[in-house]
Amino acid sequence: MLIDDRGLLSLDLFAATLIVLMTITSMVAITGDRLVNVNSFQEISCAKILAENLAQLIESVYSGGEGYETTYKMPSNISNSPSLIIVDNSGVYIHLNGKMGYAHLIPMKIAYGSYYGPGRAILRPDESYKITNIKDQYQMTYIIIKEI
Amino acid sequence: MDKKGQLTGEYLLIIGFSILISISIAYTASEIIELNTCMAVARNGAITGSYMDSLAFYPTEKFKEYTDKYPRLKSSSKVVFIKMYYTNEGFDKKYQKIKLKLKIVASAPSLKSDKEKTCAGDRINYYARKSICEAFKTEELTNVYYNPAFSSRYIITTAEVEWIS
Repeated sequence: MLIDDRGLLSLDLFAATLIVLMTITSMVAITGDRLVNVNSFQEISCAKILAENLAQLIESVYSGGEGYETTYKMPSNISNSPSLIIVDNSGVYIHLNGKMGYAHLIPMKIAYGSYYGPGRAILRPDESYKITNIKDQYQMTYIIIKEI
Repeated sequence: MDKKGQLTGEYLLIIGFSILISISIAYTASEIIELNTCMAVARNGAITGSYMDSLAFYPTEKFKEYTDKYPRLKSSSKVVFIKMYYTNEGFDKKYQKIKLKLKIVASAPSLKSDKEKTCAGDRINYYARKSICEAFKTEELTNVYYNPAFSSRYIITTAEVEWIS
């Protein structure tokens, strides 16, 4: 019984409630912080995996030889945040929520659209791209990334 | 309580004494709980920092700086949080709080140069301090680097991360 016959709360109950409340308060701070960290880690892990997968795809197109092509669809978001990928000769760069990650690419010439020449491709959320291995008139191999 | 509605002196003494003890226990307990919360959230933050270092995922400006100065940091590396402890540096008269210094121990076998380790360590310390400020809602009391970090009773700084192999 929480309240005795005379309507008085016991001191034990008061002390126990106080300790429980203090413990819950501290637990809320710790678990809240932990949840934020876990979500943040999930977000950057997904972004990193996305960049690594795209780098792997581009390398497979490169090693596939002239004429090899594949399509790639950018996801609409990563944990509800839009991401942007930039591919150039030095690698694959992913931008997410003011942060940036990188996936290594073997040395190759990257071109964007119908322009044959060293450049960089910008891949936007929810768009599809065709990645093609092409040789130009000087027999230089280019990886062309074109929006479809 | 007697039939005239009066409390006995003994009863009042016991109640008064019990309340005093409860208040002192509550104060001590809240101090310990706050310290425990500080350490727990700092640990969470340090682990987040080590994840960031491991995945090489940094704020854009830092990423560009590392690309120029420390290109090794662009690639993923194994950075592991090992442990954390604090030293009590006494009462800080300026901030009127107890000053604690956190020391984080981590391992990064793939990072060879001291400067790279310093960069990785700075990130771990940054996220440890950031977590404390966010948990205690004291972001507006500190600077952009969350240095020092504040809780209600404590002011927390971080020492350089100690690296073990």
